[in-house]
Amino acid sequence: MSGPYYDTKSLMSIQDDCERYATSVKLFDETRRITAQDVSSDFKARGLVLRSTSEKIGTSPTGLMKALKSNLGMPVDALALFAALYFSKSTHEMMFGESAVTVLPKHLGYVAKYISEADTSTVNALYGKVVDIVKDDYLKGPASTMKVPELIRNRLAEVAGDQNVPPAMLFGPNSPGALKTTVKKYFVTEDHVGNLNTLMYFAMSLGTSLDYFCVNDYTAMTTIGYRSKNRIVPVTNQIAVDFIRKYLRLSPERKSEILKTVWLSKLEMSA
Amino acid sequence: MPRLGNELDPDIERAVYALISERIETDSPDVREIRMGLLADFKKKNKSLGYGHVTTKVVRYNTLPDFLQIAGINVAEMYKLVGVDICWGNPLAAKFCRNCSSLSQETLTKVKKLIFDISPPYWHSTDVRSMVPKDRVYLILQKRYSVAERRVVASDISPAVANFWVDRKKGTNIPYCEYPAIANKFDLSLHWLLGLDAPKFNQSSLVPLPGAKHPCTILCDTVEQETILNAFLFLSDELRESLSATLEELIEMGVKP
Repeated sequence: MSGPYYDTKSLMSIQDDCERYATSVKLFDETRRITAQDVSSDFKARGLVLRSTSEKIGTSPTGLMKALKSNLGMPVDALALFAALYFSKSTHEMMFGESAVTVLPKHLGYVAKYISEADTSTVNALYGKVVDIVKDDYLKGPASTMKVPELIRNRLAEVAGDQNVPPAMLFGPNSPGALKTTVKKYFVTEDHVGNLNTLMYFAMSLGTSLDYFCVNDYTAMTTIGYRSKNRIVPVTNQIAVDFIRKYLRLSPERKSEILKTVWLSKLEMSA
Repeated sequence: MPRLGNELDPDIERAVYALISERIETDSPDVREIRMGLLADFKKKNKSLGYGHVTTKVVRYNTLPDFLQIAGINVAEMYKLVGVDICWGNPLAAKFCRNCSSLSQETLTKVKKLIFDISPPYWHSTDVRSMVPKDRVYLILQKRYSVAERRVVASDISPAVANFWVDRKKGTNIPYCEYPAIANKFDLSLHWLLGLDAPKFNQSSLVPLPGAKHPCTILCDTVEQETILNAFLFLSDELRESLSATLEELIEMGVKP
């Protein structure tokens, strides 16, 4: 597969949210046909069988065939599995031909930055506390149980919470109609058929990777990062990445407890 | 009846002027002289604010801190004068503010930095900080509600706010007395909604009189706490809870002044 198909930096230089979203739509529409062709030819070259592949990723053979022939339109969980199992790539890499940094929500970005910059003794103390909190909840958490509509709903709510607006008002008064419809489907009718493209446009326009909406623990697939003064800083500190990974797999109560521990550590350091 | 422009309601203005006159009568001679001097200066500076050639004593929002400083009251007491009681709309915010007042100055500064770092940036951007109260209401209505919902939400608050929404392009004002109800409806800080976070509005240029409260405080003791509360109310529920729990634990651990 070739790529990259678009330039993230020039896309993110567009300041207006709605304009950026519209540009994402154009960019994606231009490139998705090529992407699907690439994936399709690669699929054939590897000698993969339609029926067994579709069984493994949880779609019908006809659905997979149609997806390969058109624009890779399939449910996000199937797409994530397809990319990981057969191409050893993240969804974003497979779809867009380049890897992208998954931008953390503001508060998690703050946590990652704090851990990356703190001294070793503070990080060790904090990490010890977190391991105590996590205990057996780590593997039983929502990572293995969360269904895709719920995951996407949580992610959309997280993005909206970050901006302190209701999900329906993402991007403000001139929010794109397709995005409004998608959000309404996830939050009101709980019908999530045919929204993949909108989520892709949205992920692109946020400057984040598509994996943010596809898998619960996106740290395993992509590089994470945080926004700092209008630029995205990748998190290279492995302890910070591991910290975020643990956090993402926890139940909401434990998440709150973890955040409390971090805030306390930050304020105690300064008190 | 609301006035046009950024002018204080006549009822409030009248009540505060009455309070100032009352205080002048009961003041000790030294304080009376200072207060009368300040009032004369204030009237002199603001005499051109009337309509056309008529000189009136209209008080605008940007001169409100000075006006309240002369009366020796804060915004909450000003509302009380006209029968509007200000209460905590959010119990978590009340608890958070109480906890803030138990922290040392150094810790409070760090809490402020932490909250500002994790809260969305739009509410304290330069553009928004220069907005007058009615523009802030307009901004929140636009940001949080769809086109169809805005009129309904405005009508839910009060007929005056509904009227503002209908006539928003003609410059209709929102009466100052309506803002506490709007703040409760939006679950936001009244301090932010009244624009008291703007650098030129958040303090009086006058020397405080003995026993006078800071004019720009409402429910908290200091302006810094009000600013922290502004940011706190822009956070999501989960973050509010985790931060509130953090402050409680800090106080239990004995981080006190």
